[in-house]
Amino acid sequence: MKLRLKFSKEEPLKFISHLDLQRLFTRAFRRAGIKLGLKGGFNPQPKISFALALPLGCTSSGEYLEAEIVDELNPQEVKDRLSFQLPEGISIKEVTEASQEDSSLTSRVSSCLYRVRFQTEESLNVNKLKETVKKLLQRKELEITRQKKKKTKKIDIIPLIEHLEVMSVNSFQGEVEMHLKTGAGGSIKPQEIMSIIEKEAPLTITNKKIHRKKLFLEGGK
Amino acid sequence: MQSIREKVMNILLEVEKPARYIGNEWNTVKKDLARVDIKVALAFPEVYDLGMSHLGFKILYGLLNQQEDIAAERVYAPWFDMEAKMRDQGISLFSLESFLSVKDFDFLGFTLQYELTYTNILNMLDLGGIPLKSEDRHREDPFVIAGGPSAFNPEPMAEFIDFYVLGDGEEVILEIMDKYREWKGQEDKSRKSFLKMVAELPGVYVPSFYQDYYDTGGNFEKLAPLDAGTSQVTQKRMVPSLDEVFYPVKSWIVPYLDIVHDRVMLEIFRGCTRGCRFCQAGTLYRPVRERSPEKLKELACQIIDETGYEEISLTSLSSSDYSNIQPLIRELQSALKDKGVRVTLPSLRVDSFSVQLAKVIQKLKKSSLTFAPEAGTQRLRDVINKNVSEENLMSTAGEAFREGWNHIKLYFMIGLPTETDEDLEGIVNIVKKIVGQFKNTVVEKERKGRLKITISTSTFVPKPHTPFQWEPQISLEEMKRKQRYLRDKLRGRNLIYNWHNPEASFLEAVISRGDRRISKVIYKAWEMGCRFDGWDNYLKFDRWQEAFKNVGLEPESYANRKVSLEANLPWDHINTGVSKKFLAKQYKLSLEGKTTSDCRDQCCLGCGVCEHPEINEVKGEISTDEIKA
Ligand code: SF4
Repeated sequence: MKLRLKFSKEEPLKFISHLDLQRLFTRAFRRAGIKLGLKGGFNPQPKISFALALPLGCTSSGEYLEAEIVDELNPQEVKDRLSFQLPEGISIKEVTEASQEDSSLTSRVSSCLYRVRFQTEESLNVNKLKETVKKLLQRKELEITRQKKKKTKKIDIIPLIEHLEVMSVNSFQGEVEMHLKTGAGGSIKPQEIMSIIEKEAPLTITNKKIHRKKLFLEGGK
Repeated sequence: MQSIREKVMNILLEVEKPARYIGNEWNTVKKDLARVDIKVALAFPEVYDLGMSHLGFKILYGLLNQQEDIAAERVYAPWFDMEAKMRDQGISLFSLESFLSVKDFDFLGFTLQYELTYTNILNMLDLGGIPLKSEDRHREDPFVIAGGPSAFNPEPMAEFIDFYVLGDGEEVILEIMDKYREWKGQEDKSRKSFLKMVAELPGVYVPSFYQDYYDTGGNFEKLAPLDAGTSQVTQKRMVPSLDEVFYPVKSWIVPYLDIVHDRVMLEIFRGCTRGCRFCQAGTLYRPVRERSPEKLKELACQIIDETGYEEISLTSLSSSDYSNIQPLIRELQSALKDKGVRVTLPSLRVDSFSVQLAKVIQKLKKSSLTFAPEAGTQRLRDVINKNVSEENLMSTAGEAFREGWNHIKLYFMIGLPTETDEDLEGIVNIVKKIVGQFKNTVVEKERKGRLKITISTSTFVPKPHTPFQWEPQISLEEMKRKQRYLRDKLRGRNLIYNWHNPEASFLEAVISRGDRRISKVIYKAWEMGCRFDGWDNYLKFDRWQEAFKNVGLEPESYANRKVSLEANLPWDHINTGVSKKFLAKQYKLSLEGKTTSDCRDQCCLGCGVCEHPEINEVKGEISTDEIKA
């Protein structure tokens, strides 16, 4: 049967990579005595797939993975048994049965909601920061350049921002929330938005903590 | 003030592989340090990814943490980028469990696996704010202890280590802890009084209780106890039976990172008596002690349940030599199959039996097979007592090809005693013959992919406690010439030739055979910025040369000198249980090109180790031949 798990990844596990996380889950399943389905005959790999890799350094409260398990088990039981086998920093929020017909999770992620907390060298002014963001969003076009191997590519990021808002500001600390598109139509990273704000404001950001609050899925049942 | 933990977390996004420094892995033992009496930091002088794979370390970690009043925590060498950040932010070297500075532990124990990690030890002490030299340490500093194979010549690190533990650490460590409890309860709490107490334990060596002497020519003369009451020699300790001894199960840590040997290591036996004359492990871990199949099965299942690992490797110095290896593999496979766990063997003997074993193990995925003939001609293989013939090798390769393998890895040593270019040519011939064997065995249309032969050569290092401990190492120029010779001849579309960094082999020889004066060189080299010397890209050989010059010692006189059989050796006071007489006999036999059999197959050769009170189990009769010798 196919299960969908919603989980969070908190400190200090933000320092482990996506590959590390995959290993962590396959081993936790084995410790829990829940057999994963296998694919590929030559060098069989467990059938477990993640919605969208979380970059190293980010925390999240709403990640998804799908796993094919061999035995029919009650999702609640899977949640209980697996939770018992996970280290501090990963916790399972929900386990549901996924429909076999659904297309892969990865192809269905359309956008993500992020919260970024940051510190600055100069004292912050809430109105000024809000004004900067407002002006940014009013632009018809906002191009950034990306380096990919030896080629540079210019992309307009305005259509990729669903929402961007200054949430709170407190002398040397600020918090912004951003809802950003991802997937085949192009994607933008929260770090890239922060660099633009840093440049436009202008500000010197010393420390930022990026948290993914939610993944939005489209299609499926 | 920020805690070490907070400071560390703040810099981790700026370093490579931050998961090296976060701890919190599955099965980590985290105790409330306020509620324990003894804190032990187990330090591995290498980066986390390498150190985490070490079995001995896991054993001590589990065993110590099993004691209620003791907490054992892990420490690894920070990589260059992390060290720079730590120094910049004033972060002390810390343990991964509690983020406690190493200087706040009662003990800081290092494992010595390789001589080229010694500068890392000094660097770690320095990062921890602990005086580097034993004599400069105070009451509140931890006791710095060391064990592991390289500790069998303790002299090069003698100035820095308070005391050494020789042999199987799990046998001694709790006795040391008992002494510590006793010492803490007594009036005289000087460091020296504790050192005196541990010196009474068999297997413990306290370098500061001994003085080194040199002759007028600057050669090592002897090492002698300062006090009449101190024993002349230190015996290694041995675990008599592996079935009864502690093995880590619940404390088998599962790392987040993909470490070097990311799997369960099931030690099926300890020791090896094949008697290869260059091999130090062959002496140090004698005699052979096997774990019973029942015990192994029980351990395997338990560790898999506790870790969730997907692979279990049957480790030892020569795993296909386990008495009933085939039934063992089958039993483990059937017990673990349902959990989706692979059973693997790390290395193979050169024979058809091993190919059959590999077949049982690599059912689906045929990766490479590794064989170590070590030398290119029968003559030289007899000198080193590597009982492999060319026929063995060819039929083994043929069988491997027939069974579907097409990648073979071969290990050879260059610079072995008595080696000439003929022996190098022998390596080339073997490789050519194996290529021919492939063409003969597998018809063209049945070939699955291209043949690949990887040939790796290391350079012979004369190691203490081996029959070759008196032999010189070849010069740096010779190493380079021999490597060039092979590089030129081992060209071809199917061949890959790897060689070991000559300067690293040279330094390894110097330090391995070093006396106490080498401490000064290591110190100087560290001061000049040497660390991670075992990494080819980071070895700064010119600085080492400068360090030797600075101290006034010639490295060549350690590495490239033939030592007389009568001379005292800087490690003579360490007793592995194997007698010097036996080693000398083996040395003589080697020069005559005579081989010796494995005492497991034949009778006892009288090496001496089984006469040890902890062992008491000599195999069969000692042959009269050996007694005469
Ligand atoms: S004492 Fe005899 S049986 Fe024991 S390891 Fe040595 S040679 Fe082998």
